[in-house]
Amino acid sequence: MLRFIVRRLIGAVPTLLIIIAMAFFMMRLAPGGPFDQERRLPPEIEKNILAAYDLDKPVFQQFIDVDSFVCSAQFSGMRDGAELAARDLRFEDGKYLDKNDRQHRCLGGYLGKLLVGDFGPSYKYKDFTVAELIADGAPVSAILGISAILIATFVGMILGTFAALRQNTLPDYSVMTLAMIGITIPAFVMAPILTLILGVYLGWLPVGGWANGEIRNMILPIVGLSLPQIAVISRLTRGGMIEVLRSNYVRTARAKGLPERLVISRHAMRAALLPLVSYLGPATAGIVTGSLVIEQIFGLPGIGKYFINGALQRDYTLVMGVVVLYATLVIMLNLVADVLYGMLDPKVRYD
Amino acid sequence: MASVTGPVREIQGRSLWQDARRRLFANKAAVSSMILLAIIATMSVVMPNVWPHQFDSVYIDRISCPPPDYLGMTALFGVQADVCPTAVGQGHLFGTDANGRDLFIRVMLGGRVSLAIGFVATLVALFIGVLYGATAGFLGGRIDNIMMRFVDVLYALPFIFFVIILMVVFGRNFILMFVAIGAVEWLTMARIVRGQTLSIRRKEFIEAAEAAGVSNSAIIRRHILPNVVGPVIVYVTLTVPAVILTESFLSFLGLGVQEPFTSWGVLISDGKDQMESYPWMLIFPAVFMVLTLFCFNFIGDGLRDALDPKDR
Repeated sequence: MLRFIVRRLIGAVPTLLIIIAMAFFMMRLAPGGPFDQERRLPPEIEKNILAAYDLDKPVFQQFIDVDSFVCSAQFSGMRDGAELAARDLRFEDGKYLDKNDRQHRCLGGYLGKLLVGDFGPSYKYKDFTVAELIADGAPVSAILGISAILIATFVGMILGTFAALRQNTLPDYSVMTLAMIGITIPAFVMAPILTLILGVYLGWLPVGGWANGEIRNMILPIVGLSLPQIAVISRLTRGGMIEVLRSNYVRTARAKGLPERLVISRHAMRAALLPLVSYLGPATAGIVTGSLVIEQIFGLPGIGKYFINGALQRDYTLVMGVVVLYATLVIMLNLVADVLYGMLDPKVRYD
Repeated sequence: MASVTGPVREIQGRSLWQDARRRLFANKAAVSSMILLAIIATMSVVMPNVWPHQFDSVYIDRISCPPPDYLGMTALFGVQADVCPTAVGQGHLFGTDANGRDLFIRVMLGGRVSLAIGFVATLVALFIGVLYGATAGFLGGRIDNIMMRFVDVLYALPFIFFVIILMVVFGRNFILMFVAIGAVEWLTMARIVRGQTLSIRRKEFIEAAEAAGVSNSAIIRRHILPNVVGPVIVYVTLTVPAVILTESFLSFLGLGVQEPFTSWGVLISDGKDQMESYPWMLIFPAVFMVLTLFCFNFIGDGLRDALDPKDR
């Protein structure tokens, strides 16, 4: 089991590297830099700006830069000396700094910095690092995403089970019609229409804004975010449940006189929910992309807002940071789903 | 000489495709979807050429004018029909937008753009996916393993972000959008085709073709591809709405089609900003897009039921 988890973890590393590399080089291939202006800056100033953002090095070194001297200095614990001075380096606050106060690392470049959680400075939000911006938006996005996925799972499971138990009757058809609607109508149509009805005509809920996390302000965004997932989850649950209810062990359980409630909750439910576990990865991806739209519609101060603004203003580091963060999230949850599936389904073997 | 037996009654067999067509046409939801979709598509293609208003002509005296009062709709929105006296009788079926342009023609043009992207990107996905999947499935063994591992890796990437990066980096380029979205959607296609190919690969008629000395590429083209058409058609009808959605998503975020051109996503995005005072700007494009998506989904479901002999 442990070996399986470790192997999957190691397997996720190249995928992540590919994502980071692809995103990084695509950004650097872009025609026109982030600091291009109508009027050209004096060359000295431009040089300083490029140096400050590490843009003066060759592209590959911007991505990953192994400074063997700093590595060996770190390894030998060298803090000062002629060799350090010869390279214009000094040791301060645990960092190796050169005469321009630029930090030199053993493993540098974008990738090296990423490893220590440094996403770099934002190009457009002056005085902020990307990590700060992400941390600023994270609570809002996390609250929305987590509540949406919990609500979607709960409601979807109940609706799906309900439909499966009444297969081919009116309740079943109505749930499945609702699911079809939920799958077909995208969040960016559904959410404005819900807002129009509940917010504008009926005036029950605020049409947007965060208001420091008022529950009233969260309802519409969470509903908009979870509706498509509810639709998919109820379909999956219904499918799994119908299949399980036909199986032999459910028949046995009924034959030995177990009350229907126990047959469902103790025997059928467990097997029927297996398909849901593997949907965890796609669901995360859906919630993440959905949150971009939902945060935009309701004007919420989450990560999505920064991402969209960054994308529209060509704030490359910010866009990169969010892509890396969300890609990691999706890959990790895919991994969790895989491991959970292995633990829950005795038919899956680890090697 | 008089015929004794009368006209000979030929016994007509029904091919798999005839069966499928009969089943499809018996499916009411699928047939009405096809008709509706045909109407929407024809309108989108024809209307921009014959409509009296141009998609980019601005009428300064008719900004945000409501549509004619269908079923008391404008009353419901709380808009007086006489706010735009000059607009009355000008044939703005869906009213005008916030820039004083005829909304009907913009919805039609948006449909043209959305449907075009839907079809072209799906063709790109179809081309790559079928070729890739058929090759992997046919060659089998280690090559198949490597090729499908590659697909698995790509599958794990949240691709929408890459499309966004592409749009950010290279600007909002029409053709690039086709290619980018198509390049995202081919993965599932490749998997489906490969699965089908693998199961056909061991059939006797392939063996016969091999024994007769037919080349690999000819076997793929002549024998394998025709046999994977069924599931591929089903998946194509489900890919088109997915592509339309992706395009609208990008346009909605401001990364898609640009003014004065438009797509349903752009119109919905603009309409959302105006919905509190001028809800028709949201409602009309939303209705058209949702109807189209429903049609594709129903047709896809109908085709699946019609083409899958197991479900008979």
